[in-house]
Amino acid sequence: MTAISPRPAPGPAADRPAGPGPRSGDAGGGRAPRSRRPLLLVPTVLLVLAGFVYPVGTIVVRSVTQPEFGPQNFSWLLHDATSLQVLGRTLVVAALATLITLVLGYPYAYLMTVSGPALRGLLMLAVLMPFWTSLMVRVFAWVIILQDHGVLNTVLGALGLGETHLLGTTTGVLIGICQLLMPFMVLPLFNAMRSIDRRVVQAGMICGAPPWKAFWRVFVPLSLPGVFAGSLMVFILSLGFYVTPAVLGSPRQELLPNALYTQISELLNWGRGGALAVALLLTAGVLLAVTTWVSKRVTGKAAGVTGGLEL
Amino acid sequence: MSADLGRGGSAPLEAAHPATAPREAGGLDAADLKRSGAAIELRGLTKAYGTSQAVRGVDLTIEPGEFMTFLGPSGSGKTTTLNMIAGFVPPTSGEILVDGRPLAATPPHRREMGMVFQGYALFPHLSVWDNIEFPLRQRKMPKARRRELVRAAVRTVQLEGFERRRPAQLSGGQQQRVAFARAIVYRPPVLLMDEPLGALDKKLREALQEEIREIHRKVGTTFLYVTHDQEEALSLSDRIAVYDDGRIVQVGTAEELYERPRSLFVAQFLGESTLLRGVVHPDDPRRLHAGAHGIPLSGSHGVRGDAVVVIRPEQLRLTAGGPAPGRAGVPVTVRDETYLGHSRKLTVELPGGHTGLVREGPGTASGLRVGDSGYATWDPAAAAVVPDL
Ligand SMILES: Nc1ncnc2c1ncn2[C@@H]1O[C@H](COP(=O)(O)OP(=O)(O)OP(=O)(O)O)[C@@H](O)[C@H]1O
Ligand SMILES: [Mg+2]
Repeated sequence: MTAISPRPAPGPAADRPAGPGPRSGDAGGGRAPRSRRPLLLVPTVLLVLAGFVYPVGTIVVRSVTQPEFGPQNFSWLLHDATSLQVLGRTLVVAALATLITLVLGYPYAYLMTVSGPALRGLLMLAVLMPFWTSLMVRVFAWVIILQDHGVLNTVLGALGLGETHLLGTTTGVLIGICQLLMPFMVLPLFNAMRSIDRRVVQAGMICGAPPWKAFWRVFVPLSLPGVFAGSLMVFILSLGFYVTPAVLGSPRQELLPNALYTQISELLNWGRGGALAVALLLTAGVLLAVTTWVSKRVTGKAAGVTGGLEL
Repeated sequence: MSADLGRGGSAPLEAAHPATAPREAGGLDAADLKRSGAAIELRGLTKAYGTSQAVRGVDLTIEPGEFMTFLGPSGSGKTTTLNMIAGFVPPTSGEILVDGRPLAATPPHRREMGMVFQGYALFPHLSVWDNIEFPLRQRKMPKARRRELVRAAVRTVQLEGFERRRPAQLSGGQQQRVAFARAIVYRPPVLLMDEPLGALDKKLREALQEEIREIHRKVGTTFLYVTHDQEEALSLSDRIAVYDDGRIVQVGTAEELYERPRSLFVAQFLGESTLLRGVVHPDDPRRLHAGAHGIPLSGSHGVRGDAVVVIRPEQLRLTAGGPAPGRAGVPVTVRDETYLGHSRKLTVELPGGHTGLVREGPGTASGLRVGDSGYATWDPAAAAVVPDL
């Protein structure tokens, strides 16, 4: 951190005219002088170093050094049927969660863009609701709903539709994940959709396209940056769910974060845990790169990196 | 079609491509297009948003192939009217008829209209070529025919060489041409344009006006053009409908509106003028009483009570002595003078401290200078009399 000097850099300061007040190019007198602005980054950089780079680095190192130096943990991972199954299940769940939130979130976000301010506020409130309740409350609410004698089965029974068994299944986990991740799909979609000029869709119609076709050929392509951003976020986030599968799922159908926890916390096998973590990290990284590339090809925007926001 | 449009082509539309003329037979040929203009009739067209009325009972008949301009201040209901004709906004009441057929039940995509939107509304994800081809694809035309028509449209707006670009890679003027090509490529009988040149600088605007006029002459489509630029309206249109607060206050040719405004609003909205306020007594319609002055009127105006005489700057003559027989006149003092090359514009002070505007050409120079006193005179038949507000 010695590179960032606590005193103002002498160069630019010396360049300044002696006149009073800030230079015309310098916006706002209340801000830190330009030369000192890098200092504002210090807390963030420290936090990222201490809270992310160091622990992740440690885990990566341990995956190839414990119990001894070598690729033994990765060859275990690649030859252990259970672990591969867990990895596969995790990817399938993430893909399904992405698909489900997209299918549900797209019309929802569209409704938000076309509705008036009152309804839009209400819809926004509903989508952000998961953020305002504690994780545990939310998960146990699902337990109450999904359990065999729970709300869902009572309703289904009353309607004469028979019973289902959801608690302790991957489907149950998927339901919980989708609910929690809905905002991460809806918000980028909404952001992309509301920047679409409605006249462009009208132009499609006056050109002879029926409304559904104008929507499909004009609106949908223009909303793709939001689709990419939302899907990427949901997919990567759903790779990391721990509490939800622990409570709503079953140990026989665990997901990768739970397997990882077992390795490290119960078996104290930091090497294998590290290998699992690296697998997760690699999946996310590869996906980020591929999606960004595809998104750039298709829409001209690097949706993945910016989360669909214009920088 | 002027030279300075970034492409260097300087000849008018077809003449620019004499070598390709035979191929026009399959493309934009005049005979094919002349059939195309449709008549439009608006009957009591009204649009209310809640309690506020954007358009209040518009009646208008537009001839096939006519170039009709909606001119009016911001918020006067021009876009709303256009959107009702296009089918994007349902009228609260009233009717729209195209060639005598009511449009109410026809959705926008079956109205067979072309539209150039304010801000163009090009498809940002499609190339110039695909933008222009879009309407043809919707009409399920065979590929060869599509290619032919797109080529012809691209040539009409002089965008050869830009076909593969996306709209974001074009200048404002080029985008405007793409919007235009997309609107005319399927030869709609009606072309709607909502301030198509609003975002462009003056020079480009004038060049494109020329181009639009040229295309109108060529395609024979009925043009419905919205602007709040009066010069644009005067130079382009066959007829102009002047909008004020949701109503059409006067319809007529540029000359009619300029020389015979029927209201102070129209007089002031179109061009500059000198205004003389006074009263016309019911029993003496040939005289305006303005303070101590009696101003002769032509008598055919039908205005009684508070009235305003509207005189255009080029109708006023400055003289050192009083008005000649048959001419009206008021004493004035020259306050300011602007040299405009071919003419001089003089600001004069009228009795009562009001200002007037005089334009002097080479043949009408009075020799009066700033500070001089004299008379401003005019032919009463060339002045319009309108009710005061
Ligand atoms: N969707 C809407 N809801 C409520 N009021 C509207 C709506 N659209 C237009 N208006 C109102 O209707 C009136 C006419 O609007 P319009 O857009 O037709 O004006 P305009 O003549 O095209 O003006 P401009 O030259 O500024 O484009 C305005 O007062 C406007 O505020
Ligand atoms: Mg408008």
